Amino acid sequence: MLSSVERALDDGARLAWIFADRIDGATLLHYIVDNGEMRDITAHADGVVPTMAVRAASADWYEREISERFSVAFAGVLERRPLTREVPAEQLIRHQSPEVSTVLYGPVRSGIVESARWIVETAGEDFIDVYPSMFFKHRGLEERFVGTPLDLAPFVAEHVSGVTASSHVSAFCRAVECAMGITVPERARAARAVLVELERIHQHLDSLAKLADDGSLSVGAAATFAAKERIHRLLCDATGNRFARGTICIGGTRFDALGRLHDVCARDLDAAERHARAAIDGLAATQSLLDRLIGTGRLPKTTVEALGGVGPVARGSGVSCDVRTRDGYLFTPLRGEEALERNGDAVSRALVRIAEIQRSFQLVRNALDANPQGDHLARYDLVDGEAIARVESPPGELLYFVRIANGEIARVAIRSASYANWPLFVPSLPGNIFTDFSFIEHSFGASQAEVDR
Amino acid sequence: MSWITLGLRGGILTTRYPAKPDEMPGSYRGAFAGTDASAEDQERGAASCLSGAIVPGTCRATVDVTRCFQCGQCARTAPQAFRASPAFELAIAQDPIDSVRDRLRARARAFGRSVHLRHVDAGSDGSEEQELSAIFNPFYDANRLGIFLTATPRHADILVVTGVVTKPMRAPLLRTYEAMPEPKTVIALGTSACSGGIFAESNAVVGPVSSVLPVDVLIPGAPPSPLSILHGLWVALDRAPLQGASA
Amino acid sequence: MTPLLVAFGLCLLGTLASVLAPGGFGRACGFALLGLAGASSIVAAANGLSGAAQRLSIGPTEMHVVLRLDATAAFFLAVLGAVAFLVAVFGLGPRTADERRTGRTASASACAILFASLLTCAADDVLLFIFSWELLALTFYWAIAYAGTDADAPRAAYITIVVTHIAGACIVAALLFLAHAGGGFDINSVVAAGSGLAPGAAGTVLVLLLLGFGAKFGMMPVQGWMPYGYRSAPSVVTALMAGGALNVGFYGVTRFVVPFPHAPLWFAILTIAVGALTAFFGIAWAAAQRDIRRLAAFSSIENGGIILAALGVAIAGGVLHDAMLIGFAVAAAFVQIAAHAVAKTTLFLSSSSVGDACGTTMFDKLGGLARPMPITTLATLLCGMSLAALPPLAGFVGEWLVLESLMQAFRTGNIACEVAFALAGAIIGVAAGVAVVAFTKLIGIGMLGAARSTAATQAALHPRSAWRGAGLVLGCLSIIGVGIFAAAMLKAVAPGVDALANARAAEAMIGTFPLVTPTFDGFSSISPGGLSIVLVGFTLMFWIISRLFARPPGRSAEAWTSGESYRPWTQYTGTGYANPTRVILDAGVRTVREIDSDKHWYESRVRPFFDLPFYRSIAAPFLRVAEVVRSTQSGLIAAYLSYILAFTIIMLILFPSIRHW
Repeated sequence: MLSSVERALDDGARLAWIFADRIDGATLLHYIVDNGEMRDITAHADGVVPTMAVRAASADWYEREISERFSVAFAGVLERRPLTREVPAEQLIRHQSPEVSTVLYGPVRSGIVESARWIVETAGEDFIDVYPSMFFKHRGLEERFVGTPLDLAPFVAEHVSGVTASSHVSAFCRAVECAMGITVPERARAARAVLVELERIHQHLDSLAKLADDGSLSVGAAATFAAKERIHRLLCDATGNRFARGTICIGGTRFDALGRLHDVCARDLDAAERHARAAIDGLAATQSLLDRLIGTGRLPKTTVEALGGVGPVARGSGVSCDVRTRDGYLFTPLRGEEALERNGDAVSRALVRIAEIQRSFQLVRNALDANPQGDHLARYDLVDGEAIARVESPPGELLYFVRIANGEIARVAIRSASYANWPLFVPSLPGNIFTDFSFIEHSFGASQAEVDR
Repeated sequence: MSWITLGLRGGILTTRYPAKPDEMPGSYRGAFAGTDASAEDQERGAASCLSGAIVPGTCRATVDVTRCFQCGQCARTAPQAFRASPAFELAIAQDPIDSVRDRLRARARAFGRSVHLRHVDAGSDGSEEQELSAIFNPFYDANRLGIFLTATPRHADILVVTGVVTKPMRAPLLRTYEAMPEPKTVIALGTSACSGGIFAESNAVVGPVSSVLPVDVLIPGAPPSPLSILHGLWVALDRAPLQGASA
Repeated sequence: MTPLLVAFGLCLLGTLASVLAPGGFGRACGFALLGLAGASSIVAAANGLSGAAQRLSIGPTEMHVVLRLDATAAFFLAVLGAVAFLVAVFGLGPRTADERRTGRTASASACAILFASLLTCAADDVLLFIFSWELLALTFYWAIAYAGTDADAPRAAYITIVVTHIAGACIVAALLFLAHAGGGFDINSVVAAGSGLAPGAAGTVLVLLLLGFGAKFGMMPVQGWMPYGYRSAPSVVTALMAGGALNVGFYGVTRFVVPFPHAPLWFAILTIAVGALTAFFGIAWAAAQRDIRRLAAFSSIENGGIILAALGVAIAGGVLHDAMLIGFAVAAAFVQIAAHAVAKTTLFLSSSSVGDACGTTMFDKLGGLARPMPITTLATLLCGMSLAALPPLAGFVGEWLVLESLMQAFRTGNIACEVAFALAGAIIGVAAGVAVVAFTKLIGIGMLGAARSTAATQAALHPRSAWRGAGLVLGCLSIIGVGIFAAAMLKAVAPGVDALANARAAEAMIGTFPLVTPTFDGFSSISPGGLSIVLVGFTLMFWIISRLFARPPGRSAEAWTSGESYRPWTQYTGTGYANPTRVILDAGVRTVREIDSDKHWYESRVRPFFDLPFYRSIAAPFLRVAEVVRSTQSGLIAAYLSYILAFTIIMLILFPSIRHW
């Protein structure tokens, strides 16, 4: 069973995900490998399972979480420190030499940030060893799905990560639709595409604004946050919620979202794009900010590929991984337009985001101009099945697995882009100093809620 | 130079709220109220509420604003029994309301004309943080109201907690509260923080903020809009009338 | 003269008593006698400063021993006496940990060192001077090798003796050459001999003298032995070495180099430059050290550089025939010598106390000592403040005067001099700044905060000792006293200064008491006494006001660490605190950092570029010669007799030809 995984890896596939499912008391491991098309290789977890982490470094976090949550034993795991279990910080420190002091950064950090803890071992201002100690915000989302009625389950998906709610709910609904064989009408697919792209715009603007804020460029940050606010107001006008929650459901959208979006965008989209462009141009022209970002948090392409990075973080290092180029799940496939940079530092990631913002405005316009007519919601019958869906959320590739058994949701597994990217954070730190930490963190643009779920 | 011209061209974006009233767009799903309707309509609406905010009554159902996460499903499945409104001034006090009002009044005098906020994320979904940051953007500019953000709890007057309290975050939240000097006010921001929302029954969480700390003001919403947050802060500073949950 | 002879006698007695008498009694005798010797040398100094110079000749004319006590030497005797007294009071406390470990007493070597230092300062005969200089080197070696504290002691002793011997060789060569040129062995004629020398010869002699004396106080490039030696010597003896014996080097410079007639100008500039660079590099290396004693040793190097710069100004004054400048610079050097002596002594004594209580003097294992050891913490704080030149303490007055002397550049009227003075002043200013970093690290990381290791928590268990406390308190009082009463001190040592300058320079420095001015009218002045009153007064006033208007007491809570409970290992380490300084000064302070990822170990070391590789390369040819020579030492009597015979024959043949030259 695992040999087929290894064979797929030998053929050049990347290991995208490992998750576990419990059926009738037996634990089943799913290995998701991606070689252009995704394959799901399942294996029973009998006894001790050999680790994949030697072949594919990205397996590390997946295996450790599975071993802690599902009590599966993996042989040959190198990292002994727990990932999701709550342990006192003493057990997470490595260096015992007296010259090294340890900074406990978190879980309550300064500013309005999500809670996560970093164990930073340092001899001054540099990083000797950094251990991300996360999962403080574990709310049990995957369990919350189980047994929820299907018309209400999308609301749970929106709670996984409130800021990328449209991406999460699209991925969840798409997984259910694939599992149950539902065809979503074009009008709804166009609406979903518009919402996901608008979400990409406001989250990328948020990341850029936070970078400006870290660099004490208050005016630039204010202008960029104002551009982000315009998108939220546009969404609120069109859908009734500033983050477009409550719009997407299984089978389509809950109301004629595309019509509302069409009317509102005709009025407000141009102004929003103009202001966003002005703010971004201002940021890109501010040398003092760029000086802080150039060379900061460098990630070579080989590291990103080995650890399975996704999203603007990976594209900043030249790794092609945009889900939109792979399948036309949404309305407008994005072929050959991936924004790639080479240097792998914070500036490269910012440039990728800037290019994506511009492209997203274009995609929104394409979808609204096309304005496909028809229903916005498809009827469906409840059948059993399981499927994996993926969406390009603002931080990157988002994977949802849904298994429906006996007419109910039996298992939902979520692999968010932030989860795939956090292992890249520590390799990007050496050579930087403490003040670079928040620049690198915001250039990753990750959401903690979707990691801890 | 371009920042200056950009600013001048943009004009003044800042709302005058709370000095002058402001409103959310008409389509905003702010608050839900029960209307006189039949029992089945009320039941259908109650069944559609994932967080259990709806309790059917004799004539009309009541919607617990601290549990409502503004999905609008009740108004969609039972439009006769529930009505949506774009209200955003949703902040209420934890009962008993009179003692809360007195405490807030006393503290407001101590705080003077400016307050410092310290935020703690106890287990949110990330959107409350972005909305709380939004009150400092040019459209709302909380600084003009004397509301500032501080990184250290030692300088903070108001503790704003977002998200339902997860088990690992219980102790850090308590330590943050202990680290703040008196007088201090605690605000629970967001539906999950106010009541636990859809996680109230989850065994990975401790419960809403009130199960760990004494909460003064609850600001429901998923997420609460920046105007709601400003209203809630104004209530905490005793500059806006305080309502109880039963209002 | 009598008190001085009494002091000699007491020292010898103390050495014998410590070695011969059993255990604790011998030790107590030794330190008591050391203290008495110190007291009587202070009395001798008072005599010397009040009257004219006294000479005492002992023995027949051909092999006599001449001792002289004049105003210049008196100042150094006073300093030595005061330091010895402080060390003695402290030493009367219980045995230190290193003494218990090695089983050997420190008082023997302490008395011997004092004896040799006093003898050097009192010698009026070049041969006696050389003899006592070598004796001092031997006593240093004895202190380190006999009673040294750790496994490094043999190596440290070896380095010490080698470097001081090479320095001694330089002095011997120079002094004997001068004696030959001057035609006599007494110091007066040796000093005057400089006037008859050719410029090249004069320059060579001066450089040799500077190198030789410089080794004693840590001048670059012969400073390398000091960290090793000071680290390995018993901690109480290190206090005497660093605070007392170190000044013998300055005595040498003051006696032979400063009054050297017709010194070339380039030598004065060289002295100032070397002084400034020594100061800068010394403190830069100090800031990166991990151990209190090594930090203090490098700080001594820094102070040596500062004092040398002041003496360089005096030499320049001599070249330019500006008597007031000579006087002022020498007075500045004297004040700084006194300030450094008391501060460094107290610092080493308190580090001895810390080492005893915690078993270690490495910063990264200390912390949290303020409550268990309040007197030691206070003493370290005052030492640190003084060595970092903070008002109103002694170090501030000393460095202020030295910097003022460097600011007299405009009086010299010589471009090279002005540039040298200005650059030196700037470099010493930077050094003073880095000194603040180094000593904040010492006090903040070493003493304050929470205990970083179990070693530090043991400090609470250490037994209190009245003698030790008294010693430290006396040290604190002297640091404060030298600072506040600097004017009085200048008045007291004025005869010594004026003798060197042949002008009433020191008198001119004392304005309306207690003001101290740098000799020249209207240049600038401070009142250390007044400054201390103002500073202390303001502090007291604020404290009283805050107490009167204080709001009700607050609640004490745990330190805030991002929502975690407080742990001591989140505190800054010494390495971490000094890291930015180290990074900035990296060109001069080469640090080697090793990170072992498998064993998860991190270690950093400072490698001063004038360190073992330098010494090794210099020693290499000598060692090769020594190898060759060793082959002649066969151990056979016959061989040695034939060597003597051969040498006699050669001398008989060559002697007549040499006489003709």
